[in-house]
Amino acid sequence: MELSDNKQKVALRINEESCSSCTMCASACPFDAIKKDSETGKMLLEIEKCQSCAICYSTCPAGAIDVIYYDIDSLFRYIKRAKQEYESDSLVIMCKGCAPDFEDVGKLFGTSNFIPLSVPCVGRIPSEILLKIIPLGIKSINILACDEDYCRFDRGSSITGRRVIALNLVLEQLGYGKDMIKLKRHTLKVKVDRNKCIACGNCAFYCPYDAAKLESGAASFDLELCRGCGLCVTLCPAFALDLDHWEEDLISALISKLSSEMKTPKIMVFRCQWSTFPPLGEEFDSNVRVIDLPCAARVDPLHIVEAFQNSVDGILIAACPEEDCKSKTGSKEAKRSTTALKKILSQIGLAERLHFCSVSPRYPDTFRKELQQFKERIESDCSQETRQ
Amino acid sequence: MIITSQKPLDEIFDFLSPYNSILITGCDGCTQPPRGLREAKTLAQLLDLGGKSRGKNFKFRAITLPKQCDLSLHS
Repeated sequence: MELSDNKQKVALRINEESCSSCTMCASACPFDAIKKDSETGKMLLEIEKCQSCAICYSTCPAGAIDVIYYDIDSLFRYIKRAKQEYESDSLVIMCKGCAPDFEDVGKLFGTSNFIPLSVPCVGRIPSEILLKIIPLGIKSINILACDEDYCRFDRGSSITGRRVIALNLVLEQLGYGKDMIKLKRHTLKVKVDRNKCIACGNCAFYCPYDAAKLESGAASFDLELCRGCGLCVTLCPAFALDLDHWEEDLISALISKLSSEMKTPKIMVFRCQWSTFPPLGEEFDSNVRVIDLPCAARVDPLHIVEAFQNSVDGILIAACPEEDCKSKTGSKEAKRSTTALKKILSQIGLAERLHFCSVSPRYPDTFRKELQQFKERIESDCSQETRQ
Repeated sequence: MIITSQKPLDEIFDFLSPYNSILITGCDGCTQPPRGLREAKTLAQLLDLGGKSRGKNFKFRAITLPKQCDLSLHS
């Protein structure tokens, strides 16, 4: 679907012909991006405020919101195809903010074989699609949402909770048994090794959520406040902190694995998972690999240098614009540390091989354009080097 | 307040040129670089990369000491 606003492709749009101006979208929008025009009575979307959560899309009773990402038709096609691929009748819809690892997600629901559907916030999933897939032979629907106060889109998790209650009541009356749709909540948090902590106070100083403090000579975290952005992990000088499912060693192993698979010139992308909403089944050229991170704050200079050591030719960091950062200061800190690292890399001739860009899912083409431009530049540089 | 800045890598490479095996020791007692294992490791990786581009294969090991500036801990 092609959606555009002043000729630029946008993530979503209100379809005036179908809209009845009921204002449900405006009530549901966590970012105050939709308003009713007092003169015309039409619903207006301010795309610059929109965070592309699509909670409005899943709420609209008239189907008057058009979305680029994960619309009902593409979700249906994906689930139909994936049901055969995975040979399973159990679907797990998960927010990628709390479930990066499919194996552990399966353990949470007590299943090893399931159809995975990973989306940025489960609040974007309309009830309609859950009803539509049951005739495909889907026997159980499991939803993994972030804890309500951890939801990056504020209301996505709570809205999903209410939808599940309502849908289960309907499905029970239709003879599908009780609780056909199961909802679990989960969050990914920081882990502290107090034996390694050198009590430098970095985590306490930089944590955007005031979750860290120094206590009895070591870092201590209030996990109720921790939002799992990973900034403290990246800034911890002593490797005393780690982040669930984005552990230091796990990312290192991924860099090594991906770089060994890639063709040359190798382009590696470290991407904030909220900066780009990938299409279902996203694929890249054979010389490009992407590592999604919980926030640009988790982009670690150590991992960047490690990637260069693994013969990666160019590294692109994709972060949200600072004003859109889901972890308050994550994008800003990532930009600052990348700038500092570039200065050092310039001394060994690698500064131009590292590029930082800000991209937003509200403009779906921006990431692909940045990647394409960077890829062409690195390919050209490497080709020139080979000729010399 | 202590403020430090990293030496230019070229200068560090000049120091390193007669050697093959290098031990980088960060400090666990300071809030300024090189303050801990992460920065010691990052420096080792950078020097490894820069060394290779200069045709030199250094061997690095990165560790930290509790408080490098406190001489009483060294005796």
